Amino acid sequence: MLSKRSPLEIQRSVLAALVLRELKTRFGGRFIGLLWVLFEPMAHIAIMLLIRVVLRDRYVGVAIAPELWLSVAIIPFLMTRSMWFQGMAAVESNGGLLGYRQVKPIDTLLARMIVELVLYLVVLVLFLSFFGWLGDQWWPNRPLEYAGAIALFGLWGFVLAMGSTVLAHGRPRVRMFIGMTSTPLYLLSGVLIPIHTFPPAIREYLLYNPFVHIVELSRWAFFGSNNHMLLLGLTVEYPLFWGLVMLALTSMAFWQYRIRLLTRV
Amino acid sequence: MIEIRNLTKSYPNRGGRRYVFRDLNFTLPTGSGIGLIGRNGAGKSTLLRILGGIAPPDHGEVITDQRISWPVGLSGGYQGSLTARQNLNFICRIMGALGAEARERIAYVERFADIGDYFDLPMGTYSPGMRSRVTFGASMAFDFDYYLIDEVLAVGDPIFRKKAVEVFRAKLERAGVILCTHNHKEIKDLCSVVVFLHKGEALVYDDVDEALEAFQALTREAS
Repeated sequence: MLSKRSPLEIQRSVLAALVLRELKTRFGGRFIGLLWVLFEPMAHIAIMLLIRVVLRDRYVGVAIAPELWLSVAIIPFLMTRSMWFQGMAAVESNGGLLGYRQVKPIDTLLARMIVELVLYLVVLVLFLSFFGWLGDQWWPNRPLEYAGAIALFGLWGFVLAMGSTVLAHGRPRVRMFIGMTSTPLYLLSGVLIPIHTFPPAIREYLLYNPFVHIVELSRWAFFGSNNHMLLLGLTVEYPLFWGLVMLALTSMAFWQYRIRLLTRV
Repeated sequence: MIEIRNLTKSYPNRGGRRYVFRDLNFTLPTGSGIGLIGRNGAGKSTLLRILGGIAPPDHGEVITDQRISWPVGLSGGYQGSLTARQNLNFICRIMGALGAEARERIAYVERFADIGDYFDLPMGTYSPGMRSRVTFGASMAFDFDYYLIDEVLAVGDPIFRKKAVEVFRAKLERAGVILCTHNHKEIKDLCSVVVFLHKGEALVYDDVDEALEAFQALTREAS
């Protein structure tokens, strides 16, 4: 006979079970599967690096190794995007599991957040070790600030996932539309094209994109030398404040929708 | 004891909400078989799902200190690309059975399902019968105070069905069952209390024969 557990204990064991299940499904139950999971973000980054560094220019506007300049921001950004899209589909693709009373919609979402976070942190460490091996800088100059930037990326991934889950539940066309918005967000976030190369008149509007701030924050924290953040009007407060506001709003929306999310549409 | 207090459930549909039932109030005694009867669409499955904690009511509550199972044979929670063992591991984890305890339960299901080396192959490759052997076994591997059964007690070939019914009867010596079915023989066999759902109302009968009589009277009226 199993003993009675507190709600917190139940949620903890559900999360652990879901995370392991996600990993197993993703890996296909084999060790080689692990390589494939890591291969996907790596291939994406490698292609972007190739375009950025080999085809376009050898100089990206800053006196920093371009592969490193790109990687320290693109890996966390891809993490956010992955959290967003994987999280948005979490409730629907785990619909069958909601038949167990222990599993709640938020658990399926949280489990995916954990999986993506861990996966991309592993990718980041692998990339940085590789660059370190090549003789580049491999440790951020301001490690705490860099961790903070990654936390901001994570926060935004989480709120986008929660908000999109609520908006797209049972509305497949909305889901498609949300998928489309991510591309301009990506291209105009300063990940690939440095923000300071845009004309000031356009830059003014680009600053509404919170990712512009977080991307530059992560580069500043990693390299530490080019502190042009304030000059460009970039702040930590903007993404942090709106991230927390969004967290409050999307949590409330999710709570309102917690019952509707149980119904498959 | 399971107490149902002001239970209201509706589903959104075209042209507004459709209420399954409004403000149900009744109490079910502990340790007995409970049968849910009613015509199609009367809300039997919905009530079963609310009791199982899967479907939340609009308002009202189910107050109980009993451990109620998931619907026996629930097959939605199985991932086709994972093996039976991996899927069962997941169930053990969410139920809080870890380590040796989990291995023991999985070994039990393995013996019970008796599907040979398929137990360690992806569940997507199973036949429906093999699948239901595993899902039924999973419910039997845990001790609940109440087992929820929606329509079908056991499927599969006659040999398995016989084994399943035997195991289930053994369980019922210590546990109750909430059974939703149109099979009146099963109700007579397993239940001592019957909830008759009709037009959003629930009538609780302590006498099974009386309940079945009322249901038959309704059927006669309809025809």
